[in-house]
Amino acid sequence: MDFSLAPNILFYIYGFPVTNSFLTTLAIGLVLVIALWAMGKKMKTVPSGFQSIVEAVVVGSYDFLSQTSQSKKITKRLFPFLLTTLLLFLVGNLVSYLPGLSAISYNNIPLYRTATTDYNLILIISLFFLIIIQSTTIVTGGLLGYIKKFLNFKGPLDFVLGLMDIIGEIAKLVSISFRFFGNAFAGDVLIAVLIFIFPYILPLPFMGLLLISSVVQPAVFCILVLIYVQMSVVEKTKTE
Amino acid sequence: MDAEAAKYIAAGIAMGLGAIGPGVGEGFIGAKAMEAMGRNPEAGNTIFTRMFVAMAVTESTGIYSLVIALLVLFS
Repeated sequence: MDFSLAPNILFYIYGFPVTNSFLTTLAIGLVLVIALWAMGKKMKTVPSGFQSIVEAVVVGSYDFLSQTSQSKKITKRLFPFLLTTLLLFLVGNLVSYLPGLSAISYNNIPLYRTATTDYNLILIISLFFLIIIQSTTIVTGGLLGYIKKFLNFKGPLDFVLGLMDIIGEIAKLVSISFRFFGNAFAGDVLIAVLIFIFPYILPLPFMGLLLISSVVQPAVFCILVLIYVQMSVVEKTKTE
Repeated sequence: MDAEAAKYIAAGIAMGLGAIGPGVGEGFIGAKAMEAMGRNPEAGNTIFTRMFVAMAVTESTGIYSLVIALLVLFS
């Protein structure tokens, strides 16, 4: 058994390292784009087959998100980003349940690695949402209000609290990205260890549990992003 | 004790101690959610989704220690 936190590098394209999880992410993205684009080209009023599944996912996740948030406007605006992230993470998690994927290898390095066990992907997407969170504060509260939030000279206590807010913003990034990465990576490691101890039978109940967590964690990621964006909106009555 | 043994012990301690807090916290959340659902079954759906969000937030300290343990073990 050998695990590494960093994904294995397959080959280089002009000095750009192409890793196995990067290839998996690209493949999942391509499949999602092509499948949804082909479905979108021939949409029917009465859905059937694939379209009804996609509609159930879209409508279900919208209802789920709008249930937890108070503001309809923010949910509607953020929903395209959240659904894209949700689909990528969900499919990326669930693809690992297809049997026989890790048997395919190139130069003795497995060609498949679960997309979400690569911290780079999750960090980039979390950074993207962190930028959205910060820009929401700037747009709703003004640039001056944004700076005032962090550099507050009203008193010594306010000054320290303002500095703590900077740490708080970074902690948001660390907490949402680590939570998701930890779950995905630990799932893969756990299954591999259990297969080593008692093959075929012992991993089965754990795989069922991990199936739940691999569906719940992307949803929780999206909900937390939505809640953070909602918290970052500066109310007009507060600033005036 | 060589460095390899110390690594395994450190990972075990990190994971074991880190699992205490989230275990207690998730137990509380589950118990309270069940209580709330028993009192008001109509609100069960919203309580259930909120329970999951709260659990995921509570779990985060456990996940941090898990990440630390994995870092100690595999890097």
